[in-house]
Amino acid sequence: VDYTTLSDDELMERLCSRDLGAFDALYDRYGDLVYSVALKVVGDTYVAEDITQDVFLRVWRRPEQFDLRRGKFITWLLSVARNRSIDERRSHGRRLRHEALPSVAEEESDVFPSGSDLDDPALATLLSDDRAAVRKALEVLPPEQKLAIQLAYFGGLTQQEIANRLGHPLGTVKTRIRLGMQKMRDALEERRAEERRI
Amino acid sequence: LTRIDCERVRESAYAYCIGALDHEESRPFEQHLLECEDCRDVIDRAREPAAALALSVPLRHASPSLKARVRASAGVLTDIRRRRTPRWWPASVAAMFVLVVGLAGWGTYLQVQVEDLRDRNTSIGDDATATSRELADVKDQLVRSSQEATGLRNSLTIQDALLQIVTQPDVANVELIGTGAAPEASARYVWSENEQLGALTARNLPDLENGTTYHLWLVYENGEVSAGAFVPDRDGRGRLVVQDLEGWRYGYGSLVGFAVSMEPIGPGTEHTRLVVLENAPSRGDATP
Repeated sequence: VDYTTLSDDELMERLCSRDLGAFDALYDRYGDLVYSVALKVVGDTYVAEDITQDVFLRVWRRPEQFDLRRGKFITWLLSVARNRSIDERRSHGRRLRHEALPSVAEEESDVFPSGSDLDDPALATLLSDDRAAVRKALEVLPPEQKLAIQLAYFGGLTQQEIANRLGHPLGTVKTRIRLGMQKMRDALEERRAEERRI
Repeated sequence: LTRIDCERVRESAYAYCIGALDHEESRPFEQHLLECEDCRDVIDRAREPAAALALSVPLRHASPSLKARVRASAGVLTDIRRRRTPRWWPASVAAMFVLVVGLAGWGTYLQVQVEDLRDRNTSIGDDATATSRELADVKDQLVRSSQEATGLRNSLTIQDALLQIVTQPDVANVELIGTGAAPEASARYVWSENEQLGALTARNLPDLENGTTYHLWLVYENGEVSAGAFVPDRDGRGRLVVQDLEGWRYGYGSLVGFAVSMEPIGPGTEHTRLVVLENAPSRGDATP
């Protein structure tokens, strides 16, 4: 079986039959992306690798947790990776608070990709179209909406924590997140519509 | 929990999907999702742009050893599962076999015990029946012995009375003959006014009916008086000693006859007329 030709859903179906070849194929396809998300959230390569291992072993042990009716596999996988990473970050953050509370500037620099955040050249083609569309959508967002969304998604902060951290009203933070995500969705749907037209 | 409505869920759908709700906000939110399919659809649609945020991260290459670790861990999990499976089945089958054999053996043991108990019970029942029969036989023997002893005692009593009576100069006797109710019966009554003593010996008396006994009646000019009751033996022989003859006569005039009748057990002043014996027609030697 040429696993590279199989779709994500087909590979997951084989995973339910304990097909290690399908598992290998899924890791080859998304292992680096999961690792990159974990690294983005926790900022530590060793911890990020542990998280990546946990995420894929969860997929291997409980493939039935993925419900095809609820969306695409990649959406589910990245949600699992992000949530597992945030749990680790919060756990690590609690440990850090006993040592030294990180500054707002440190957290903001942590969640914002800097100019030096470039893709590994060997991975540049991975989901390049999708990733380009998301980056494009984020670029057009007002900075305050982008900041609120990224502090929540990669920083693991709640709306109230973001409001406290930035010194903004809670309602303002809620509005920024809602409007920013709405624009993200519109941008992605517009791109999908363009693909259909092409 | 504070219940929230659909409008609030839709306002906070993106915040929920990027993990921006705190714990107190998430709980009623998720409770609402359990109950509202429309809002679940809203959340499903919001998940995609939320998850797409992950695609914005700069891509990094994980170490080559990570894949080997992940692959090896998955293989170990598979081996554990495979090892568990074959080990589980024989152990379970063996356990089931032992259980079934054990239950079968236990059932057989119980059945044997029940049958043994049943046999013992039957044996005890037979023994009890035999013992009961033996006891009944003993009881019959005792009754017979008692009756014989009573008969013997009566016989001795009557012999003593007869010796006393016949040695008196005023001895008198009368023969009683069976009536139509007891044609084979006969009796003799002897008495002495001097000794105030009388004795009745009868034979071939019919068996008593249930609840009855025989009475000897002294028949006077002005009435009849029971001189006593008696029960014949198995051979139909009856005996009765009568004392204080003068006392019976008081107020009734002269003695004119005798009779034996079958009467209900209990006090009675008159006989039932089921007479089985009465004195024969006067033959001169009978001087009532």
